[in-house]
Amino acid sequence: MTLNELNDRIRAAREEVEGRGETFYPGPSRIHLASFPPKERWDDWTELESTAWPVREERRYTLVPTTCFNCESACGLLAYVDKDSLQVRKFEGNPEHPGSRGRNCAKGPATLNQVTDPDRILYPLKRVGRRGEGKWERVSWDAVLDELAQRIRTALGEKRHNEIMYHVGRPGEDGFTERILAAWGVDGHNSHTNVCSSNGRAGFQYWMGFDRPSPDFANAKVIVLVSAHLETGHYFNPHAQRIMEARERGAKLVVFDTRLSNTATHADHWLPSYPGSEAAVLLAIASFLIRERRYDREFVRRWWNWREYLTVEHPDREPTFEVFETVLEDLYRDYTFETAANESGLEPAVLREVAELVASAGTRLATHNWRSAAAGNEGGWLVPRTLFFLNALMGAIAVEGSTYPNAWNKYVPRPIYTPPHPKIWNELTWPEEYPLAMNELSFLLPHFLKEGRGKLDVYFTRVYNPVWTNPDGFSWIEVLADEDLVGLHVALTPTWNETAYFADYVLPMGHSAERHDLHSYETHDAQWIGFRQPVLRAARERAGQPVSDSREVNPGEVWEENEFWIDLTWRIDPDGALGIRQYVESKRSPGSKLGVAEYYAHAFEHSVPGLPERAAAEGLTPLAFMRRYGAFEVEKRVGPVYEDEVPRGELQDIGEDAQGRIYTRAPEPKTANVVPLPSPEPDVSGRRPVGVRIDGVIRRGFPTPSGRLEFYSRTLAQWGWPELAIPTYRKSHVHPDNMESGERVLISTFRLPVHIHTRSANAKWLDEIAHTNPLWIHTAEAAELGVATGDLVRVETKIGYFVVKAWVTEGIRPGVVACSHHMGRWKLLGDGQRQLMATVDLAHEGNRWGLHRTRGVAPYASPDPDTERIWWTDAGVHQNMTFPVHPDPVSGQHCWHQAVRVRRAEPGDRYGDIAVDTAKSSELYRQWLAKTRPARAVSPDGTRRPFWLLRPLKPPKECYGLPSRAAPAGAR
Amino acid sequence: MELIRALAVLAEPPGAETEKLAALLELPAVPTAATHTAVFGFQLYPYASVYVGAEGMLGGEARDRIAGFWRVLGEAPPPEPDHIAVLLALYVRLAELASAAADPTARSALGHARRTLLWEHLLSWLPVYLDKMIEIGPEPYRSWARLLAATMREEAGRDPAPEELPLHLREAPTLGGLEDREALARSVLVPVRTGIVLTRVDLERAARELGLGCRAGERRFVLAAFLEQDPRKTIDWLADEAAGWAARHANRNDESGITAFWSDRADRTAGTLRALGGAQEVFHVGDAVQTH
Repeated sequence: MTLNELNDRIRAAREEVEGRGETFYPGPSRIHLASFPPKERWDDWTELESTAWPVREERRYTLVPTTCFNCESACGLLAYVDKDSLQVRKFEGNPEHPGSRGRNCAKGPATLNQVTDPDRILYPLKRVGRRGEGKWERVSWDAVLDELAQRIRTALGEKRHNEIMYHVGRPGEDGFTERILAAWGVDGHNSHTNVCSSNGRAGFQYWMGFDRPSPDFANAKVIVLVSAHLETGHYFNPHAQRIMEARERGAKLVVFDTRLSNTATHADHWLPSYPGSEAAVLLAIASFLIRERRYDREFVRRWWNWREYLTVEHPDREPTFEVFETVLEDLYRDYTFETAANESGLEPAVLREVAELVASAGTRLATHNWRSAAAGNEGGWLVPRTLFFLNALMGAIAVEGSTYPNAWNKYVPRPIYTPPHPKIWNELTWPEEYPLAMNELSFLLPHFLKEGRGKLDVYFTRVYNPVWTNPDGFSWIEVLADEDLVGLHVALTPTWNETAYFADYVLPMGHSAERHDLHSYETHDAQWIGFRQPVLRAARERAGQPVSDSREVNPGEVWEENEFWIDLTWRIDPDGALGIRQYVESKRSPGSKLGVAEYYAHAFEHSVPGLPERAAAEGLTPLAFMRRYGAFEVEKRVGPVYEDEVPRGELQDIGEDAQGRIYTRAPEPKTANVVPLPSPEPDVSGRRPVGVRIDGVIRRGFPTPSGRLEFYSRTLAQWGWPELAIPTYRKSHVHPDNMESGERVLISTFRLPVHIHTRSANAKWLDEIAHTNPLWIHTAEAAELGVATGDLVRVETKIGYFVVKAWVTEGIRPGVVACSHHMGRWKLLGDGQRQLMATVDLAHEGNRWGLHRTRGVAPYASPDPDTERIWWTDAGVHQNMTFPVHPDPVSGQHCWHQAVRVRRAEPGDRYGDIAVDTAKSSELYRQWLAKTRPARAVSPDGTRRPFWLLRPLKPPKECYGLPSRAAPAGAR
Repeated sequence: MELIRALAVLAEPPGAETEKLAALLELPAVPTAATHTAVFGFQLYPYASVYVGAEGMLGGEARDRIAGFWRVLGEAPPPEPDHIAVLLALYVRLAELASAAADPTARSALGHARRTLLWEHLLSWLPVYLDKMIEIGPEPYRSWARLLAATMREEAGRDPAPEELPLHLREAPTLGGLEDREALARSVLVPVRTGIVLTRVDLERAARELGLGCRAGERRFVLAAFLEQDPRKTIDWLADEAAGWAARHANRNDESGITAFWSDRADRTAGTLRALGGAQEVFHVGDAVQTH
């Protein structure tokens, strides 16, 4: 046989095998990096049992994909389901997942611990004593659902819609519960975002309308992180692997981090700037680029709204780009390296080096900030605003190696039903004082309730733990314990948490391997969907055993949320009279309840381009394909959508404003991708904005009022913050000018790499790795205080103090101390998670609260023999309880950094002690509230909020008008 | 190109898939883990750096050059950029990308990259390696080597040879270490210096032919032990091997200059060793093999 014939033979064999959707060249190959079980063998995979070593004992598995439910990345997991026992034996990475590409951090495999946690909640529980007393009885799901449905139905009937609230940590599925609330007609969505990423979002939003960045790290030449993104953060696993790929190719990494984090150790330039000074440093870099004309002039000319800026702010000057450049240089002239050095404590020469590096990146500049400095500081949203300034100067937006808007790298399939948003406004979450709030003022809820702004009849906390997570936790306890303020508290949670102790119902929800969700996240320049599913359901279905309810396969009576919400919604409106039931009704079988299989099948069949064809090629339905592979890449390399020309069909009777914004009467094309987008307002004739004219061509542009990148934010200028309308620097609440003598900055915003907020205490492997959160303190300052590593120190905030161990290190700059918020889990006597929760006493007298640890973590007997091997006693210290609320007056984000005093612990102080005076909490709340510029004072058009801004539930325009009364209705 | 990819995969540790590939290629035996380890792990290490590196060892400047080639392509080098399977797979990938490129400039650049890879990093050593594999390799790897050698000859025939020798060869030092046994043993085991490839099998043969004790250890240790036992006989044997290799290389008969380089190296090695063996005193008295 000739070489050519052999070549043809191999090719034919390969085509035949790959035509079946199977892999021709698998194996641990250097060529294909395929160190995963070949997907065609996922139904029946044999491995040696590691615990039987040295005996070669074979185990047969069926491998079922799902996605991780720990952090927000939704990385792909592959559950190894034992075919004999039908139990999950382990989780590994799913190579078919486009975001994580088969790789996981420690939290992914630790899902197994969470599933098998002997302390998990397995059945619906109802409080039998006082709230918070810790006495529970098991009840049936039917009883719970009937009571909830009755109560909600009554509230809706009595027009008490705003007394129903759903408070969520990270959502399970984009928009699912928002749609449930919309179906009920309730504006009761309350997210955690204002204690998380609102400041990060705001900075990007005011530039490009989109509120999240999507850096193309893998192809960048220079990466600037204001975060510890290689170890933690949004999408850190998918991002970190791409950052490292870029570094292997020679990309340079610049990291702003006051701590010597794991990320900082990988940086080419580590910038341990003084907390809150980041924007000053970034503006100095921007000023350098401007002064030296090292920016992309053509990009700036084409895409910035410089003409609008000149027209409004310099009406006496000719609106030409050359004039703008002169003005721009003047605006930022004073942001020198020396000024930035004074603010940040960094060397001017270092800043110049970094600026040179940024200038050398061209358009391959990928930047990222999400929490970190943004979440820490008053005005922290100016950090991403000034960071993205660099991208905007370099033209490094949505081109290879740059930063994209998230919505172009995200795909949310249109679901089977999209109920209209509620025609009501909830002032408990969207108060008049914060017209520009990025999200709900969730963490102020206790203060609003205490002030009599409203009350709650049914309050759901869903995989969320405000008592532990939010600042000022004792104020939360005070309102949760008050049945007049919170009529019924329902905690939906897979595991015990501090908030659940103050619930009336604790309802067990599924973990990653026990629930359905559909996700898409901006991990790189592509659009993908990932499918979370109850893996035992999929395994049984493969074995020919249909499953219709996740409780049939989950442990105990653990349920998945989607089925719970559908069932509850059905019971609220059993006969359809309220117009609610229609949104949870089967289309295949009208009159019966929608099942999750139909719900997802509909989306996969109708709203995911390419999926039906891809599935058909393997002889599968789209749903079966997603059950088998767990992910699908919809599009790669989306590119600069803003440059797209608007098709002629969308241009009907167009109007154009003075800045080139184009409006059309053509209806908006219905898209299958329903990713949330801002909605710039129509023109005076009611035409919708469709694009922007750039050099004579109508291009898609950005979803901002001007259609361009907004160097100048008309929104900020018109809504009370003209001094912040262009990227600028503002001194943080922890700026030395705003601190008292003897105070230091406490940084609390950083995570421990193997834990994730309130979700991971029930993972023994993670607990063993990380179970403490000492106070980082610089060597020189420790010496001044006479403190050594391990000594107890008292950290005093404005409302109380906590007692923690010191960790003396050179890895933090003097004047700053740091303590991760990822620890300090506690439980009262009785139920709780015993592997990482200390047992505490709560003392309460008037406004004064104390929390004292009575017992650390200890070994215990359980069905899991590992619990008797627990060797650690520490569980860290819960510092957030001692933090007053610091709502940013613009974005509404809680500004986490604290001005504290640190001193040696007093005699009698014990590790983990906490003391707080909630009267002081209220005082601090009022001080920060006084910083706001309420809509009633600044609204340019009598509305509560700019309509174009994103809002998770977005009432129609008619609800935006400010009420005529002085105080909101429902005040007590 | 599919054939080259298949042959690349066959250089990987075998699994069920390689068994199917071997059958498709009508190789006379099934690849097994034991044979694969015996061949690639103990006799003929499948890395370019071993054959064109100045140290005759894994890594070093030779591997850096190849990693640099990946970087020039804008790709992150894999952990073992000079592994035979990786190089062959990259070669196939470049050929496929070139043929799929619509833009003539891109196609030309990819074509240039493919030719560079072929002449600089594959043909600079692979024919020598395969020659030895055909000599000592058990089946199916002997047949695998024949197929790959024929395939690479065909690839070489598609493109004119560059005027210059590959950089690996241009920069290669000659045989050194004539001052002591240890240094000589180290130097003789560097193919690009000597033009010869000495495997464990060859050293076992030398022990048999010369009646020397074959000590257990790495090749350098074994060879140094031969030199300690009987330096003249060992050096003469090495010179004969080099002369044999000079003829072998010449038989491959190509016009690129690469064959001539290898043949010349072997010839010079033979001459140098004969001169050393004919000297009155081979090594200084008291020079001993370092065993640590």
